[in-house]
Amino acid sequence: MSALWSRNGWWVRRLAILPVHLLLFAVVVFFLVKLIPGDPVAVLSGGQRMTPEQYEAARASLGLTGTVFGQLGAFLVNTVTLDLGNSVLTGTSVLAEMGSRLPETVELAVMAMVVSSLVAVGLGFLVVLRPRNLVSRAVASYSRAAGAVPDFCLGVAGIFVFYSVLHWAPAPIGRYDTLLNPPPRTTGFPFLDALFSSDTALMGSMLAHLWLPVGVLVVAYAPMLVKLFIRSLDQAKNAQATKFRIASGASRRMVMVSIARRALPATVAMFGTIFGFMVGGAVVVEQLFAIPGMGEYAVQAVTRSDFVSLRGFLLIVGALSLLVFFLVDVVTMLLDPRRRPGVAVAGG
Amino acid sequence: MTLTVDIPSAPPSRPRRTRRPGVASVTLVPAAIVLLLAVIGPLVVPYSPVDVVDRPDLLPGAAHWFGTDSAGMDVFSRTLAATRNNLLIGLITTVAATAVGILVGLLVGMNESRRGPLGFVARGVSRALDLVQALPAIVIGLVLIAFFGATIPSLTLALSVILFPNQARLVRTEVLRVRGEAYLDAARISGDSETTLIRKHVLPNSSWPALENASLVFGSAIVLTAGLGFLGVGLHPPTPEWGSMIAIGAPGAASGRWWSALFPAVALALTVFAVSGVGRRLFGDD
Amino acid sequence: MSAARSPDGSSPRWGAAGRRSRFAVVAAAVLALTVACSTSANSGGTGGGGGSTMTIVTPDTSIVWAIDNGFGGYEQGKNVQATMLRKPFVDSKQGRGVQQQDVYSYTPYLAKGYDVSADGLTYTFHLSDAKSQAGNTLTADDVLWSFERKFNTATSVIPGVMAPSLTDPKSQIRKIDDKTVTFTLPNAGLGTTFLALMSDLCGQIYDSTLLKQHVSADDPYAVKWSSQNPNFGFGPYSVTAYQPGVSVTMTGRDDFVLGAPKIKTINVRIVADPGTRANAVKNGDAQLAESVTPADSSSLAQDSKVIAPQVDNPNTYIMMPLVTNKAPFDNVAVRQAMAYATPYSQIVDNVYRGLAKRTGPGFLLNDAPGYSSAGFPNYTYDPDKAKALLAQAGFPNGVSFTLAVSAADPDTREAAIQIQTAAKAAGFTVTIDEQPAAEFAQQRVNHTSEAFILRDYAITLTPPYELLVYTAPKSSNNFADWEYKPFYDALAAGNALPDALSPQAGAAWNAAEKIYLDQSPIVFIAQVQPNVLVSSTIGGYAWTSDNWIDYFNLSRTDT
Repeated sequence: MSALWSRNGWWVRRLAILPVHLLLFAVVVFFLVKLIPGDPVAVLSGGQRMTPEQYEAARASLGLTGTVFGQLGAFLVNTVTLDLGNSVLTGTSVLAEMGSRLPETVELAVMAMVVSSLVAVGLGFLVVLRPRNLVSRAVASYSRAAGAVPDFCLGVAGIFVFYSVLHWAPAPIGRYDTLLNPPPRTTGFPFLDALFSSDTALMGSMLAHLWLPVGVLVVAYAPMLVKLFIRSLDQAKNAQATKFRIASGASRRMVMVSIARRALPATVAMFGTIFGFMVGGAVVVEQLFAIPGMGEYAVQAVTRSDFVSLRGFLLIVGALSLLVFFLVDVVTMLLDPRRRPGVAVAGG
Repeated sequence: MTLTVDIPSAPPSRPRRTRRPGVASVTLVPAAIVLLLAVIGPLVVPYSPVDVVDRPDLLPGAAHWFGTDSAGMDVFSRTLAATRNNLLIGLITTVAATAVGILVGLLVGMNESRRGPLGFVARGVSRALDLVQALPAIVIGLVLIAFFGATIPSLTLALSVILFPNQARLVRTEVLRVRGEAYLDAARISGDSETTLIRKHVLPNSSWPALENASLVFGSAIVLTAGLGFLGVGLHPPTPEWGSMIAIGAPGAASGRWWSALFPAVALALTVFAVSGVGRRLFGDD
Repeated sequence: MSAARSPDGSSPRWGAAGRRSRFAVVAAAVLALTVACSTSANSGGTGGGGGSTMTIVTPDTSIVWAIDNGFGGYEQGKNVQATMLRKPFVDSKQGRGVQQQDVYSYTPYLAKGYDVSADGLTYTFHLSDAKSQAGNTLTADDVLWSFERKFNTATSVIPGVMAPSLTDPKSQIRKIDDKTVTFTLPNAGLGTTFLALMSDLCGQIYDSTLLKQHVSADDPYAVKWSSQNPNFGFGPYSVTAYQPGVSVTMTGRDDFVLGAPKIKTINVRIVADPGTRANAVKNGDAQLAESVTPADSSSLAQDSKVIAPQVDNPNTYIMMPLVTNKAPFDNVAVRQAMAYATPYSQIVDNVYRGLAKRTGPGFLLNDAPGYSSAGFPNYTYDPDKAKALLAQAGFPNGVSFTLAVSAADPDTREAAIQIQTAAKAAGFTVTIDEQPAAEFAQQRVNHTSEAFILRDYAITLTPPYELLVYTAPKSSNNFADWEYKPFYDALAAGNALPDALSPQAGAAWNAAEKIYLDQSPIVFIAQVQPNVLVSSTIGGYAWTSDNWIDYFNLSRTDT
């Protein structure tokens, strides 16, 4: 029994502390959201005539009366029971909104990331193997200033050129044509759902609508991957291992595969960061193409001081990240037992 | 909107490439021009950058080189006058985020595996840094600016809060590596105090990734400002600032009035290029 | 777990258990499915079913279905609901199928008709046999219960809006029989405003039979339930699909009391970017765009495929309240100086590109029976006069103040910039403070800023209502925090008269409005045209006093 514990204790302890972290995070979220100015009652009433008594009654109905600690307690109890409440403004359940928006956003992010990684690998090899090529130089200098062109500039330019002028893209209104019915919900991922219901019309419409926003995300964020990949490739190319392979007469293909394998891990880590960013922060692309997702939800919540929705959003995104961190930690600890806590670290 | 890149780099021991002086100055020329424009820009503008000077939405032409915006202000004057504000926001944010990042990274890195309350706090901070990074920067920025109000100091504060955790993480990773090096033990044996140790040995050897990343922080700061302006929490109008200019011009650009968003966007991109040139020059990073 | 809620509130479910295995077969199924013969809902072309269809693009107005659960985007909710009376539509001078509401007539809708007692205090409504979405027939109990709910819900704004006509439904509303109800007013002069209110949003009658099935201890009037389940009214449309923040699909009801709507299916799509909304109508991807910028409207007004509606007397005003509870605008001369430092025609031309008009300094619509503008101050842009007034008030070196604008309304920001530039010559130094919508709403309610600029309108268009809407004592909607006894006395004198639209009443309203304008708590800048673009294939766009479109009046002219 004790042997079992000593072998598995490290990750069990880590797992056990996860809810504690989440609860602490919930406290932070509570106070962070308290920071947003604006009065939910003012937004709710649309500035209509209200007497002070009506105003107080409305505040009470939103749970805004009582001490801060009373409110915090109520919030934590609700959080523990997975009750994220209803939007102050629209009355819709926050959990339900998250349930529908999260998969939709993740699907778009996955599409953008798949294309981005293909682009990164292709261009990375081009730049490293043919550094004097004109295309290589252009790619290298664009990727060096990665992020210099804001995504919304690219989005607006893309809409102007491909929709307004060339008419290559359909109206940037949502994921599919306005007259089509949504797919029956099975997974929550719209494209997969369309696939499951073998709705070719809908799938075609989705592809036509999504290529431009996906393209914008790729042009905006792939340069960061390219930059990193070029750098890692360069290092891997000049490493001893490469020289050894060349010296020992390995085929060109073998050498390439070996270089790529050693260059990839850092890029994969970056991949994770950008992916996380797209899930919560691709607000502007979501707005420009009318594909409402997680980021837009959060922004709307802030501008309308919808504190219930904002709390729910932060909790879900925070919980998701904590979970991902946990998995990443476990995987690295599995691969490298020295990293497990309890193992003495030199100088510790 | 963007994010800073966590670049795992080669160890600092790699040899610095010597450069021919010609190449070096070429990479610095764009930055020098931007700096010059920031200093003299507001003095040489043809029109007041904060006043209505003509009819709105005039095409670029002889009277207004970059046209006028939707309120009737001169886009050229505003683009030029904004250089100072944007450079100020970018530089202050970069310095603040990097300084705080290095400090926090050092403290966390040195104390993380200690037992007792200090170690506990350090581990907590480390996890908190992870969490701040996990939340979308734009949302945190929105909340902070909504609270503090949109002025240049509060904007730089909010941007620093968003951007320092990544700097801290870069330094922390490096501290963890440096901590095990033999020369630290040697210094300890020769009687250096812990503070001297950190100041003389750990700091110089572990802060370089944050410094190298600084040009990217600069770019991110300006682009984030633009993103916040796009969402309506920029500096008070009509303060000339590229981000809010792009944001205000963008809806018109989709219907063909491209000039009021395009010129500040180009200025922004060129400035980030120029600053990344300085970064490459200083840290030999190609 | 779905926000794509079917209208009865049940959410489509999916089993977590089935997900993993389903996921496993995806890869194998991909190829097979893409070539498989499609049998889906979308295989027959458009998904709208029979009848004509149109698409409306709108910004996210945060749609609410129950007006007593908070105030938000109410256009869709309005088309699910119906009132006892309505204000009829007439053609506008612009032509091209554009119509406007005759705001001074009140015609039968859910009520077959109404009688007024000889003393003008009691209104008797005779109800029609209208059917609700749920199939229930309208009764007097629906009327009684609807008002009971509106006045007993904490989040309801209706008591504030309906005062002083209706303050206590229990004593004022009586059921005579199943098809007859009476309303008794405190004085006869409120009659016109009362009829207008019964024709507007607050007068909607709910299906109490349905709602009573969904009451609970903590939701005694099913307000929470109805905020999620829109189909609880007697209106022309029912909601067949709703995804918050994304889309609404509405279907015309064949059993609607006034007959089936001409457009069977209305797709409402939320599109955040105003340029995209305008382009969508221009390119035929949508038939109606809401909240379009004046720049887009004016540039597309020449396009024969697009109509930028202009009505004779729009009730939307761009206005600048000067908050009177603190310096500098606690001084009436400073307020008057600001009224002379505002560049009215520049705002009409530069910001609204001519899609606005200034007929005078006042707020009352000038087409009301008995209206007079005699004796009003002549506020025009006159920097010298403004300077003189400031010097007279003891500010020879000028005055500085902060002007708040909402980030959600770009036209108000542009107007603020025009004012900032023009007011310099008059001695005013203006700092513009752009705020997120919620913060702006807060300062507006708490009167904490020095001045702000906004676009707003009175929904109920009778002179006493318009005069009180921004001036009621202790009201959060008293923009300038301005309470002035002579003004209230003048208003009371008008309210004491038996008919609010008579010539004598007109003289009384003129006296009150003159005080309002002389004191200048709010600078009324201009009347703004509806900010919508309509495809020329659509007829029956009509301006309404609530500025929410009546879908029942729309038709397609191309089919």
